[in-house]
Amino acid sequence: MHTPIYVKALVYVLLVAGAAAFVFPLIYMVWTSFFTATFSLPRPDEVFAVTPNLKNYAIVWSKNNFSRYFLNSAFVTAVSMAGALFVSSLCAYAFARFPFPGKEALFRLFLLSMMIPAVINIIPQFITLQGLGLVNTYAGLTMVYIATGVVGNMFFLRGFFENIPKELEESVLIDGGGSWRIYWNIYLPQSLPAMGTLAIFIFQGTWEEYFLALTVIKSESLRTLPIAIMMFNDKYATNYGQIFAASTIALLPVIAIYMAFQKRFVQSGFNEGGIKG
Amino acid sequence: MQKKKRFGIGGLAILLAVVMTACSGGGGGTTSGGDAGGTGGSGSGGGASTTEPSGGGGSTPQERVTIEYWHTYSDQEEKVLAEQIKPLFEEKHPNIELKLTRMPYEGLKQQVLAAVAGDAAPDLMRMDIVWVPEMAHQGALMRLDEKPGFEVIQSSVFDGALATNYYDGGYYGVPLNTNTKVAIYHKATLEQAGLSAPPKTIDELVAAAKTLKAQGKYGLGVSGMHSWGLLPYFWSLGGSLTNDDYSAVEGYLNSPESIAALQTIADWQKEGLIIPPLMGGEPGAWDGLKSGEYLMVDDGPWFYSILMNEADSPFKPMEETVRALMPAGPAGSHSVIGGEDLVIFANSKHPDEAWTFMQWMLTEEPQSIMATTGLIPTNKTAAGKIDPQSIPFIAEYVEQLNTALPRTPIPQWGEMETIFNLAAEKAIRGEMTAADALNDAAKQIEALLK
Repeated sequence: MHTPIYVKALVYVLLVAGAAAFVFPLIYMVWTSFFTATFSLPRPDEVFAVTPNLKNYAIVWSKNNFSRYFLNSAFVTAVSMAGALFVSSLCAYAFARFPFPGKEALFRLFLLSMMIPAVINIIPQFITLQGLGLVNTYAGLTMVYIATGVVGNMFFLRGFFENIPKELEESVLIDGGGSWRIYWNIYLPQSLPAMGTLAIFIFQGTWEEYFLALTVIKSESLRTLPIAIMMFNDKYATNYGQIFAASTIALLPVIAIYMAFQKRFVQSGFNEGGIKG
Repeated sequence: MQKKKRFGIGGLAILLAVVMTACSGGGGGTTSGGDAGGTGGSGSGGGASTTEPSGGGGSTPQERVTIEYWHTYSDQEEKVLAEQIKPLFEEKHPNIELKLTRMPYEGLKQQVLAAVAGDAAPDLMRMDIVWVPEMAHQGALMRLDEKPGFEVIQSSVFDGALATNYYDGGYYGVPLNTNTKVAIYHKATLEQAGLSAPPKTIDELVAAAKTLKAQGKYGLGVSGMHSWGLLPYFWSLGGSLTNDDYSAVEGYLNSPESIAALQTIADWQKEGLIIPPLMGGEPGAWDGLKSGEYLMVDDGPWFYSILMNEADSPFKPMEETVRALMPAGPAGSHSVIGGEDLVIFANSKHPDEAWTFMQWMLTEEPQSIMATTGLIPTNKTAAGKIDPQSIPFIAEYVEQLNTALPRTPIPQWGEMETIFNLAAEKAIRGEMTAADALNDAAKQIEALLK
C-alpha cells in the first residue's frame, strides 16, 4: 500500500483549503478588531491593509464594565460547569447502571423535554426563580444553567457509561467498595474523554449565553460578558472594530479551555486494556 | 475496538452539538441537582448578589426611595444622562434616587415582556414610540392622564409627539424626545454629480444618481428594507399606509398612488441607483458616505453626534457633508418620526416618585440638557431655544419635523410592519409586482385590525 505522491499532494491541498476556509472568519474577526471608527464591516481587500494595534482592545476593556463582566462570567461559568458535570454524571450513572421501575419511560420523558425551544422556557423559568427569591442572584442563574443542561449531558454520558466494562465494577465490589466508590473511582476516571468533551460544550454554552442572563440578572454590576458585548451594539450604529475586539477577548478563554481539554478529547480509548480480553 | 469507540464519541459529540444548539435548555424540571450548584453559587457569589437586591424592600414614606429606570441611550447620551441629568434630579428631589440601567437593544421587547410577566419590571422605561400602544394593549403600562399635573405636560409638549402615547381613550406615556431623518449629502460627490446645492426634489436627486452611476457611485440613500428606511420615500412619492384615523388599510396601502410609489422605488433598484445596503450589501451607509462612494444617505441626528465623537477619525462630518430636507416628491417632503416615550410600568413599586421624575424630565432644563446630544426636545419651550451654534446640525431636523409623519400608532404595528416590509421586499426584489404585493399586504393587515 503505497500512496502515490500526487494523490498525497491533492489530499494536502484539499485539507489546507478546508482549514483555510474554516479559519478565515476567525482571522477576519481578529483583523477587523484593528479598525477604529468603522461602522460597517471592512471589505476583504481592505482587511489586511490595517496595521495591527491594540487601540480597540484598550477601549473595550475599560468600557461598558467589560472587565467586571468578564470576571462575573468566569465565576458563573466555572460554577455552572463544575455543577453541571457533577450532576449530569451522577444522573447518567444512575441511568446506566441501576435498574428501577419506569427507568426507560423516565428517560424518554427527559429526552422529550429537550425538544422544547429554550426561548419558550424563559418566562416559566423566570417566574420559578422569582418564587424562590433567586432573581438577580448568581445562585438562580447558575441553577438554571446547570439544570437545563442535565438532560442533554446525561444522554451523552449514559451511552459512554454503558460501554464501561462491568468487570471493573466487580473489582470494587470485591474490595468492599460501594456505589459511590464505583462512581468516583471507576466511572469518572474511565470517562475523562467524555467529560472533557462535555466540559468544553458546557463552558462554551454558558460562557456565551445572553438571553437568560439578561433576564435573570437585573443589576448592572452582576451582568455577564455576552451582555457587555451586546452593549457595543449601539442602537444607532455599530462600531465593528470594538465589537470584534470584545468578541476576540471573549473567545480567548474558550480557546484556552479547548486546548486544556483537547488532550482528553483525542485520547479516548486510553482505558483499553484495563481488563483482559 | 479503539477506532470504533472514537467514532462513537465523535458521532455523539456532533449529535449533541446539534441538539444543544437546536433546543438547548430543555428540562428546567430537574431541580434536585440544581440545588447543589445553586447553594454553591450563592456561597461565593453572595457578596456581590446581596449588594443590590433592587430597591423594592422596606421603604417607609420618609425614607429615600430608589426608582429604577431602564433605557437604551447611546454611549454619548448615557454620559449626559448619568453625569448631568441624574445629579440634577437628585439634588432637587433628595428623597429619590434614580437608578439607571442601560439595556442592550437585542431582544429588548422579550426582556420587557418577561420582566412584566414576572413582576420584575422597573419603575420607568424609555421606549421606542412605536412600542407604547402595544405595551399598553398588553396591560404593561400605567395610565397617566388621570395623574395630577398631566395637563401641564400636555400643554408643554408637541401634540404629535404626545399622540404616540395614546391608546384606547388614554395616555400611557409621555414623549421624551423626538427625532426624524433628513437627507445627508457628501459635498465632494455632490459636485461630481454636477450640483452646487442639495437637490430639492426627488427628480433632481434621481438625475444626479444617474450621472453618478456612470462613475460607479450611488446616489439614492434608501438605507434598509424596513418601514424606517422606506417610508420617507414611499410617503414623499405619494404612498400611504392607512386612512387618517388609522382604522382602514384597504384602499390606502394599495391605492394607485401607493402602488406607483413602491413601483418607483423598485425601478430605482433595478436601475442600480440605490446604495447597496438596501439589499444588505457593503459598505454600510455611513462608511459609503464617508468615503464619498454614496452621494446621499438619510439618517437621524446621531449620525453627527456619534461621528463627531470619533476623535481620531479623519472624517469630519460637519465639513464634509451637507444636510437638507428629504427631497420632495409629488406629495411633498416627508420623513418618518422617531423618538422615545417615557412610561411607568403598571406594577411599579413607586409610581408616585416615578411620576415626579417624569414630570421633572419633561420640563425645560433637562430637555435642553439632553438636546445637546442631538435628541430633539418634545418640550416646546426647550425646542424653541435650541442653539444652532452649540448644536450645529440640528436646524434641518427641527424643520423636517414639520412634515414628518408617524408610523401607524396602533398595538398591531409590530405585525403590520412585518407584513409591509415583506411586501416591499418582494416588490423591490422583483419577485412580485408592486400592485400584487401591496394588495396582498393590505388584505393581511386588514385581517389583523379586526
